[in-house]
Amino acid sequence: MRRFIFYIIFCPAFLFAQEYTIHIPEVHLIENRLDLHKIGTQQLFIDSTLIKNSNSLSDLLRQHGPIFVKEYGALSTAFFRGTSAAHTKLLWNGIPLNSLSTGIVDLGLFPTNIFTEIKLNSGGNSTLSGSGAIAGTIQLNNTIDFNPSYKWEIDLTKGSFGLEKQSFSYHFGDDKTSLNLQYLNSKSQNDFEYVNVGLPNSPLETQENASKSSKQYTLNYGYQNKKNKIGFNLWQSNSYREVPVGMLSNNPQAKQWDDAFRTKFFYKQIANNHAIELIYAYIEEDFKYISNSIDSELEAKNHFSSFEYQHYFKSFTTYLGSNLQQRSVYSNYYSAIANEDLLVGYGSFKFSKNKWSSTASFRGETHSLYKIPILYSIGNNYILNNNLIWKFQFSKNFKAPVFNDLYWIGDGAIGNENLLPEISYSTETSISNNKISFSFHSNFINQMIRWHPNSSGVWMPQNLESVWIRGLEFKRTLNKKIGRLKIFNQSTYSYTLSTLEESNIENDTRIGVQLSYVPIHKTTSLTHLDLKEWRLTVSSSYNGKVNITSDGTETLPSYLLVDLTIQYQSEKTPIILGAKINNVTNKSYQVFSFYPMPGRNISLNLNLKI
Amino acid sequence: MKTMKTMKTMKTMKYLLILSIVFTITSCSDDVNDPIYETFEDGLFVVNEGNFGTPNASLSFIDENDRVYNNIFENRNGFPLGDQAQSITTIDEKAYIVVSNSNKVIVAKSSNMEYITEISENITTPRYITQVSEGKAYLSEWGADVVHVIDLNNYEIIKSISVGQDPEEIVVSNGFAYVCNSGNSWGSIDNTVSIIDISSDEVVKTLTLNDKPTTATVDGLGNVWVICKGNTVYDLTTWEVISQTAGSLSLIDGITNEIKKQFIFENNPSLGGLICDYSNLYFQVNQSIVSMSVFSTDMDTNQIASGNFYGQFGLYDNSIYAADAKDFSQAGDVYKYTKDGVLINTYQVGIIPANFGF
Repeated sequence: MRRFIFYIIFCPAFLFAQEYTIHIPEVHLIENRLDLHKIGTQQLFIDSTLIKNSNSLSDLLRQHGPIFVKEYGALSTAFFRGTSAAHTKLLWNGIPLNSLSTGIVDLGLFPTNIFTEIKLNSGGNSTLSGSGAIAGTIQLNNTIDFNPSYKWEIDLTKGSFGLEKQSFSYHFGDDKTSLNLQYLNSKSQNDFEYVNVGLPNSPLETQENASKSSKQYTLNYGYQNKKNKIGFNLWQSNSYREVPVGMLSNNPQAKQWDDAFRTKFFYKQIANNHAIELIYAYIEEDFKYISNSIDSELEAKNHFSSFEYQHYFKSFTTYLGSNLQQRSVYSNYYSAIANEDLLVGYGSFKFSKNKWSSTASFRGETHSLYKIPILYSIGNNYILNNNLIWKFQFSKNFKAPVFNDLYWIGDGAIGNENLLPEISYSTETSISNNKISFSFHSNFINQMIRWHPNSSGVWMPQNLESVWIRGLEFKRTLNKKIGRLKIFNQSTYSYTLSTLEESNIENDTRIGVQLSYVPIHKTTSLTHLDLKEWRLTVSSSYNGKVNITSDGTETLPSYLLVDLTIQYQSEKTPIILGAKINNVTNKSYQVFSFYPMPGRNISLNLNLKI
Repeated sequence: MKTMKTMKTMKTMKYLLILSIVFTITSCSDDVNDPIYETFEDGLFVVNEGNFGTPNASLSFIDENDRVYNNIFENRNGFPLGDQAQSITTIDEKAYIVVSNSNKVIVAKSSNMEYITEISENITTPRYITQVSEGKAYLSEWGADVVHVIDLNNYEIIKSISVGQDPEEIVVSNGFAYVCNSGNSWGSIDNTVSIIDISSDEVVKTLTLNDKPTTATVDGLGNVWVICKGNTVYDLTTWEVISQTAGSLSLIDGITNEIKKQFIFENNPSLGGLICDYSNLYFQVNQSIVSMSVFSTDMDTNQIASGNFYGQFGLYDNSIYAADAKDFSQAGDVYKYTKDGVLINTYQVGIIPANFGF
């Protein structure tokens, strides 16, 4: 038994020699242009049990897939393949959510169970999703479900450190209409105890100034008839957090408020051989941060309007489109409200015949301050035999300077309006079937933007550096039945080298050194054991040793985290009962240097569907 | 039964082996020189500030044989200094390391860096500590704009003296302590030096110099030299310089506490790092180290070296030490010069080297 547990936690990929498989045709029906990503590169669906039972997107991604999570203070960011968080794009129903001011997304703000689908696309795809999609894309979707059903759902969670969550949702669907309403309220004191290893005799301390609370309201509506689809998504969120500091730092008692209103309207007309899609989205984010010494406010608005025309030939599909993004940011660190209008034009082409699927995409963007080169990508899938698919992709991607890079003024720093976009060339190739996939990727990013003191000591961003990221990824999915016990396992391993290649500094000791906070080795594993009404889920992630200084002189040790979830669901009652133990082994670890992380903690969940 | 067990063990071993191959390819042990046997007596300490908000401040030591010992405090004690180290002062074989954003002064044995205690009660953003008399030291802090009087016998604050804004360096001459009120924190400004009578712990005089008095030294005659950096006001819409006030080098008479000389710098250079070796001053003007005799009647400076300098300069055993913080994220360098500015050696130290002490 002990060995069995050992296998599940550590190396499930070695566990089974044989298992049955299900064949899913992958690329023939691609209605959504973003899913063209599947041709040439990898897409990973996040398991719905995890979506239901994770406290935040940050917790979820740390335990899943070839993605790295960096957490400190209140901030939590994720990044693919050893780049930075600003090189990972986050899309909500296709609409970009990366902050206009910083380019990153704070995952700690996002609960997971207000989405029905979370997809991780590894690899560059700026031609599909624009600036920042250099290393990968996270898609959060609210799929509109027209399957006839009608239900109320109540979901209650209580857990350690004052965690409380209440969710109420209502779903209605018939062939034509779909309506989904949800309210989610959550709060946590987050006042866990930790050993302060930074002080003499390592005293036991309690994390201070770390509470958080949030309210989320979502409304998703769709209507369809034979030729038309229309609908909208609305999402309002109000979050308040106290911002904790590292174990050895002065605590300025910072508080942070993040309020966001996000909405998207869509209309799609479908004919025999073509379709037209119109989208209008509006995102507004208000941010306020107050501490003993800083008082900061920010308000960002983005109007996103797009038009897309799709035409289907026999084995050929074209997608032609254009979008306009009107953005404005008010910040007390900008001299005036900063405005940007971005006009985008793109075309994507998909060709499928017999064993081949190919795609090519182009994208052009105009910006008033800097020139963005024409971006392109090509991808190929080739079925080697019934199960085995060979994939190849090459793309040119970019990340535009963000508002802070361009317009910041204050606290000894100043933006630079002469910046150029960061440009990346990325390629990858993989072999996969339904059970395993093995891929190799390489990505060279040029003219990376870095803040550096200028001759008068004022910090200023410039295009200074080049970074090369390359690595291997391995994924294995298993299904097995032993009597009445059903076993599912998905495990991943990634090997990532991410190094600085060029800089502006003489005798730069960072050159060739693994970038800080990028583990060379990472594995994740998810196992479901289903027996009658019971499901036991074991998820684990191993994060290898990371450098915490840019020259590699200091490191943080590796850690293995294991979470356990047990669920009981009877067909006779509409109740699901769940219990989750996070950090089962009570591992003391740091994700970011000297920021404490919680030890073993539990949460209990009750889900009622009427 | 026994065989079963052995087989099981062997299988476990096999998987452990696979694991160790998969997971620990890079986790070779770090080589650290064992500092317990080191003595830090003949040489100088380098204070590596570290990144604000991250406790990666560290101490380095450069000995007389040009050997460098990095991260000596953590290597000795098993825990780090903390968040943003500002300065080190050695008093009676004890090193007082001021760790600004951890709100404390760490006291350690200067010979081997063994931790003794820390002074942290009622301290916010401490900057510099200076011994003023037997068993008594002054500690400047930005938090409450005060100078704390510390009893070195029990490490307790016995009094806090209100001074100007953002007090920085403190120097002592003839029974008086001279405190640079720097106005160096964002949005603050000051142009004074507070003079404290050490016997009564009272401010007896406040001299007005130029904007941002920051660094000070005492020459061989007991007179006090102060560099004011000058203030730059930016237009917050264009970030262009609206106005600048001149920086200066001033001489305060160590007996009368009157300003004796005041040299104003033209063209607003960046200034800092003032040190003195009895009769010669060394300080930073833009990207240069310059020297000047204390007897000069006008500003008669000699450029002796140039480089990308950060923080203070150090003077030890007839050599001048200067720090280069590089990109503020990797290990910085320390340069050792002769007093004529000939580069003798370069040492790789910790992150953001900024201050020296011995």
